[in-house]
Amino acid sequence: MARRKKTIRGAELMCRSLVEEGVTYLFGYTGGAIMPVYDAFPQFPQLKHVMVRHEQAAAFAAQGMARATGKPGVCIATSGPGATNLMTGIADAHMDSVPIVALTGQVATSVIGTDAFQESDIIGMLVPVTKQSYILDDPYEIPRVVKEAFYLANTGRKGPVNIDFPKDVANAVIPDDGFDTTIRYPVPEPPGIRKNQLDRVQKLMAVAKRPIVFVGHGVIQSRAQGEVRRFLERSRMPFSCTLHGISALSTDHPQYLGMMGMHGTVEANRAIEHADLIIALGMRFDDRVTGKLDEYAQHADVIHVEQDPSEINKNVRATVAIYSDLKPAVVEMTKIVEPKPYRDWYAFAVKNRKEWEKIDPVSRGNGKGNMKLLLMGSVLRKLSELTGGKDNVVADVGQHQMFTARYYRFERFNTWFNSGGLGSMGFSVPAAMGVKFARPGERVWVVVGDGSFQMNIQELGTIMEQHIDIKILLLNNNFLGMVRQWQDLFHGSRFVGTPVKNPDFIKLAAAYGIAGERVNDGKALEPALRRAMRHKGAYLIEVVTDMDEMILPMIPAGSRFSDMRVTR
Amino acid sequence: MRPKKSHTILAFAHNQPGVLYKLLSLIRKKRYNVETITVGHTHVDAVSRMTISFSHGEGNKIEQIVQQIDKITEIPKTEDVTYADVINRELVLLKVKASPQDRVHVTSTTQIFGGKVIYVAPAHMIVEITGKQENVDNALRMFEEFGIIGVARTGATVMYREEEDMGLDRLVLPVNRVAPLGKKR
Repeated sequence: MARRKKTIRGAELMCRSLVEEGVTYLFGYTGGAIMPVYDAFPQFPQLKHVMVRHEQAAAFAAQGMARATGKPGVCIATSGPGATNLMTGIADAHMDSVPIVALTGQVATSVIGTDAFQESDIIGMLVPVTKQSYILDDPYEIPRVVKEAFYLANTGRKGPVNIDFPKDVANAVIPDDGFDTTIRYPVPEPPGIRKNQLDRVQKLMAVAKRPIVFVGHGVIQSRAQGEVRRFLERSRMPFSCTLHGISALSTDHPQYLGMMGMHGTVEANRAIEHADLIIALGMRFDDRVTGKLDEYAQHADVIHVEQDPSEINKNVRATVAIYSDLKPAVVEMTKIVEPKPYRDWYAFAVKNRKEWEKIDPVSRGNGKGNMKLLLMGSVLRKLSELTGGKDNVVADVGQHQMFTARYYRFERFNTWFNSGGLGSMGFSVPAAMGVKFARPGERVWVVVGDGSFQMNIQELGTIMEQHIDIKILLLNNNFLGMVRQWQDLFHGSRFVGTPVKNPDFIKLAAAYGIAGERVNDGKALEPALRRAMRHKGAYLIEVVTDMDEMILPMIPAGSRFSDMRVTR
Repeated sequence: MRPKKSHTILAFAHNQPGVLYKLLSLIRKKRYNVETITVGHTHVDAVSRMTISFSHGEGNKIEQIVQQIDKITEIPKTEDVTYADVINRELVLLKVKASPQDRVHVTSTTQIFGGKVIYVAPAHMIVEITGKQENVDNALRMFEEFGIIGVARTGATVMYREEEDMGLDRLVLPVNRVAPLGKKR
C-alpha cells in the first residue's frame, strides 16, 4: 500500500507559519470568515489569543506589543466590519512606523467581488496605510506570504502589513511539503554615509557655534540610543527629542533641552529658532515639529540622517542628506566630531529654562488651576516623582498626552508610548494591554483623558478577563481639553462639542471588577498613586482636574517659532 | 493642448494584481494629475515597464513622489527621466476629415511625419503617427486645417539608449516564471 501523503489545512499552515515567525500573542476577535483559523488555534499552544472587545483595540494592542518588543505585533479579525474596524489602528501604525501584521478573514474566493455577506475590499481600503497587503488566494503561498509579511513589516522603515485570508483557502487541504518561502522583495540596504558627506559634516560641526541634535523615533526603533549618547557626550552638543524620540535617552541627561515643536519646551524651541546647525537623527520634520516651514530654523544648516529616503528633503531641505541606517552613520560622526563646550549656547538655554520656570503654572502655587482643581501637569510631575521615571507610560491623545511628554521624566529606554502621527483617541488602554503582555514584570501606566478613555472603554472587559495589571490614571476635566484649549485661544472661547457628560467611572470600573478611587484633592493624590502601585491587578485612579488648564508653551499650528505663546 | 511643464517617470514593476492601484492611489493622495500612463510587458517575464507623465509639479515635489513610488514593494525601480537621455515615443491615431480632393494632401502631410494612412472612408481617413511627444503635438496642429474628428494618443513610453537598470536586484521572481524571450514555459 502506498504511503498516504501528509496533508495540512490552510488555517493550520497559517498558524504554523505564525509560530515560525515567533508569534506568541495575537489580539483579535473572531467571526464568520476567520473561524477556520480560530479553529486551528488549539493545535498551536504557542499562540496565545487575547480576545478584545472591539477590533480597533486589537490593532492598538498589537502596536503596544510591537512598540515594546521591537518585533511585529499581530492582530486578527474577521472579514467586512471586523477588518474595517482594524483600520484606524493600522493607519496609526503606518503613521508612527510601527510593525504590525494584520490578519483579516475574507469571504471565499468564489464570491469575492459579489458583495457577499461581510465582504469588504479591505486591500483596496488599506493600500494607502500599509507597507504591503496580500490576498492569499493560493494555499501554497501561505508560508511565503507570512514570512515576507513579517520581513517587510520589520525591515527598513517599519510599518503595518495586511494579509487577507479567504475562507476557502483557510479550509483547503493540501500536501504538506514543497513550500517556496523565498522573499520576493528584498529591502535594499541604505548606502550609508559617503566620504564627501562625512567631510561636509565635519566642516559644519567644526564651525557650528549653536548646534542642536534632534533625537527621533528612529533612534528608538533602530536601538541606536548607545551610539547617539556617545555622539552627544563626545560632541557635548545639546539635544532635543521629538514626541516619539522621548525615552530614547534619559530626560535628566544634562545636555537635554526637552521636547521640541508645538508643545515643546521654551529652551528647545528657542534653541531651534537660533541654531546654526541641526543634526536630525531618525525623524521626519512633521508639521507639529516645524510650524511654519518657510521660516523654520532659518539660520541653521541641516544634517539629516534617515533610513527612508522619501523623508529626506520632504519638508525641510537638508544641507547634507544622509540616506543611512542610524548606527553606522552616528558612529562615523562620533569619530570626526571635535568636542566644544558651547558655553554661551548652554547659557542661552538655561536663561530660557529659568524664564519658563518662573511662569510655569505647574511649578507655581499649589498645583491647582483657576478653578481650584488639580492641574494635569502637577499630577504627572507627582507620578514621575513616585515612580522615579522608571515605569512604562502609555498616553492617549490630548492635553494629558502633552503634559506626560513634558512632565514625566523618563529614565528608562523605550518606556513612552503614544499615538503621535495619526493622533488616535482611544489608543492608550488597548496599547497598554499589549505593552503589559510584552513586559509582564514591569509596571505599566495608562494616562488618559475622559474623552479618550471612553473611545475604547469596552476594553475594561478584556482587562478583567485576562487579569491585565495596568494602572489607569484618568485625568478627568469633563471636557475635551485640547480642543477646548484651541477654542479658548482661536475660536473666541465658544466651547462647541467639547463639554462631556461623564458616567461614574469608578462604578463603571467596579462593574468590571476593577478597583479604583476618585481623587479631588492634592493631598489625596500621593496616597492614591501609592495604593495603585501596591495593588495587585488593574487599578483606576480618576483625578478631577481643572478644565481651564492649558498646555503651554504652544506654537500655534502653522506659526513661526518666534510666535510661541508662553502664557495664556 | 498639453501643459508646458510635464514630468516623465519611468518605473519597472513586478506585474501583480493591484500594483497600478497602489501607484495611482499614491499619485491621487499627493493630488497630482496623471497626464498619460503606459504599461506593458518587458523582455523579463512578469516585469512591466510603466511610463507616467504628470501635468504639474515642481522639482522638490517630483523628487519626493519618485521616492514614494520607489517605496512601493512591487516597484523595484523608479526614475524621473524628464531630462534624461532617453528615447521617448508616442503613437497617435488621427481621424481626419478628408474629401476625395483632400486625400492626397492628408496623405502627404502624413508622410512628412513618417506616418501611415491606415483607413480611408468616403469623407475621412485614419492615419497613424509615431514620434516624440512634441512631434505628435506638431502633427496634430498640421492636421487641424483638414478638421480633426478623433484623436487616440497612447501617451509616451520611454527607453534608455543603453543598458537600463530595471531594479532586478530588488526582485526575486518565482523560478518557474522567468522564461527567456521567445521560449515557451
